[in-house]
Amino acid sequence: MLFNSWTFAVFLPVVFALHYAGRRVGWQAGVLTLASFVFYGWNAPWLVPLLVMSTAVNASAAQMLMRSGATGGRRRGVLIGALGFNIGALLFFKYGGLLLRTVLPAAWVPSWAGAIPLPIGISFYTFQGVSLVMESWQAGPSGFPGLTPPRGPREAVWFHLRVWFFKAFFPQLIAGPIVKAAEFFHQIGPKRLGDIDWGAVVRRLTLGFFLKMVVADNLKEATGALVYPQFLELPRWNLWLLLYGYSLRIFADFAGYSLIAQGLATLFGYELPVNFRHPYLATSITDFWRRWHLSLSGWLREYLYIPLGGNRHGEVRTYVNLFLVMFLGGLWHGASWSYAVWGTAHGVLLAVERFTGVGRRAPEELPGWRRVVGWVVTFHCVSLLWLLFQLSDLREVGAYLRCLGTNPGGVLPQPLFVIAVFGVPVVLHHVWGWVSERVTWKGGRSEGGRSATASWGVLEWLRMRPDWVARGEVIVYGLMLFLVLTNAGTSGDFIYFQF
Amino acid sequence: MAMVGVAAVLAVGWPWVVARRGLRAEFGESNYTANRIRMEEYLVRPSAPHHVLVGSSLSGRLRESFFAGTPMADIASLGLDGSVPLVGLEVLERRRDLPEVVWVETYLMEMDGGANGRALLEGLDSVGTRWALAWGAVRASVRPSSVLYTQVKERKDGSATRPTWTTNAVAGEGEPVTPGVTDPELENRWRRVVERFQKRGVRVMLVDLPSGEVRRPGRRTRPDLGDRLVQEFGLTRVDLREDWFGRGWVPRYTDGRHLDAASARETARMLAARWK
Repeated sequence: MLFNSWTFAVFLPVVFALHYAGRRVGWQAGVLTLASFVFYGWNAPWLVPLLVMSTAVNASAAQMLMRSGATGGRRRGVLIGALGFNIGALLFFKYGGLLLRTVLPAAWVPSWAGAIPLPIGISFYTFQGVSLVMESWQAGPSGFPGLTPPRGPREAVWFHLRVWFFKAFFPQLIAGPIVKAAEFFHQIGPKRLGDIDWGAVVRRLTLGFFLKMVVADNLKEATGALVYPQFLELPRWNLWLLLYGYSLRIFADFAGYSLIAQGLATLFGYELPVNFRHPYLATSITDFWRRWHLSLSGWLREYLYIPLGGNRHGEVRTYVNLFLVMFLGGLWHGASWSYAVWGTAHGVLLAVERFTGVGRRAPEELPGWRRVVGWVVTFHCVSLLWLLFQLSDLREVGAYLRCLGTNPGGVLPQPLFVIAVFGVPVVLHHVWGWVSERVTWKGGRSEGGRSATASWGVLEWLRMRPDWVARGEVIVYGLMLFLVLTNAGTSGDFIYFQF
Repeated sequence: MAMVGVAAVLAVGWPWVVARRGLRAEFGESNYTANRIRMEEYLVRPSAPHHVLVGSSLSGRLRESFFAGTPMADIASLGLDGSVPLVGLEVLERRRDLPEVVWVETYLMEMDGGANGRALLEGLDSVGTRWALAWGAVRASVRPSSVLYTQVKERKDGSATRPTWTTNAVAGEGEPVTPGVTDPELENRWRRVVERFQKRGVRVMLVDLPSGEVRRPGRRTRPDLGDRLVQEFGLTRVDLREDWFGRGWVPRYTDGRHLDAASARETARMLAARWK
């Protein structure tokens, strides 16, 4: 079921009413878990058994890993078995065809290799399963906040219900944010209607639906020409425009989804991690990864980079770890070597920045011109690398890059209009992010990750007028809601669903 | 609540401003939107117009306003971007009343609508379209971005009102692209559609519009689908390329295929003259 579908518009109020109809946490978690499976299986019920199996295996593994009296060897066996199951399922369903095509000669590749279905959201819920198993392994018999080992059958049922709820919670089930076990379980408890933070719900849902339905869906058709061989005939400046348009679209699409997920979770009394922090403000690739898909980079850091040794075993090992994590992070996005190249290219850029020291200094510490140059270079690197997302064949990417330089000049007016008009909200969103990162509002209001008291010009003027800003916010969000109703584009899947 | 209030005020006020200032969008900034505008506007008309032009984006260039003051002033255009005449004809049948004359652009007659056509027709059945047909505020013709795009485009087209064609009667490039061979299933579909329309008293006319790819009047080596339908159902076929070349002029194109505003206006007048 899609968030931007009419089915969901009916589904949500029904689930909301049922959830708050009961006051006990068991009822509420039960309603949300059941609703999540309905949500997941609505368009493709045959995918539900895999989610059920994944959840059951991870729940049982977590229980066994927390069981007191279990020997070290047995626990290690359970850990390896559970991780093997998760990674094995991912390898088979997502990468089975790719691996067979890569390893075997074309004539030997079995016909069923091309018919392996890709269960939607498998990358996301598998990573959550791994998080649960790892947290349970680290916590042992004492458990962790919100999830302690059950004592007796009644508690065991409750233990499993909580795990099923964590794995299937529908706002984040299909495309994240990837929630770590320790971030979620402590939130499970009875929720009351009166405790809902309506302001946050409305802001997140409005901005999320606006970014998806108005910005991304309208940009989708304008950037539709970014396919081979259609782009070969386009004027050079149009190709650059398409590239920028696609960058804005992929952000609007994914950030929109994440915000909707956050808003929906808040509606049911849960907080999901922030996934984006104005990524196109980044002044280096290192900075970009502190702003883009934070739940994935956090997961990779915690469950891959650090267990591999991180930066604790010398420079060479650090670079190897960096490459490996980025290679696998790239491949996580899809069963195509172009994703691996995308991840590796980011890894190379991160390594270069680490080697030259570019990424080590915080952007605020850099002189103004360095920030501007860094921003321009980073945005172009990131945008050019998005080509690997859209064009899965490396030869097509090469052709596009060639056309960027060699095709005749000129711009077609229609895509120029669409990308200019629907790109503006993303630009303004980032301008506001830039302001928010520099302003500590009078009266303690603060947004963004690196707030600092403004000391000059417009920022100082804004800082002194939090009421004006609040009023302006009402108008801007009202305008966005109006545009969601009147100016949506062709509805479509979210880009990250395919991952 | 204040935010919802702002959105409600805009939802009521914006269509009012658009209607009062005559800003209704005629063009869409994307194929999807352009087609939605044409289809929705056709379906919400109080009664069917006298004439309807169905076809692809080639027909779409012939704006309804270009026919003002001609015998074909009461015309609706269902020239759908990225689509084919068959899809437009299906849209016509969504209304109970039909026009008296349907002009069918011949350019893409030999193609069915494909996935794009299916998506357009499915879109017509969607909740969103039904909502739009019932409530003017969410109609594609009042979409703020389409209103803005129409304003920009009208200014651009307005600057092209001077005669832009050149005297060059021999600039044609020869044979038409129509191969004369049609999928039998598609041909039968055409037969059924024409039969249905004729049974309901609709006069079906075929029209060859100038397109950048076929500059000369047809010198078909064998009859194409249009010719066969003309023969079988007694339809009339109008070749406007002949009119252009008869005058010794070559139309101008914006992108090598679609007529520019001035040439499209002239083509509309030629069509109306033929009707007269």
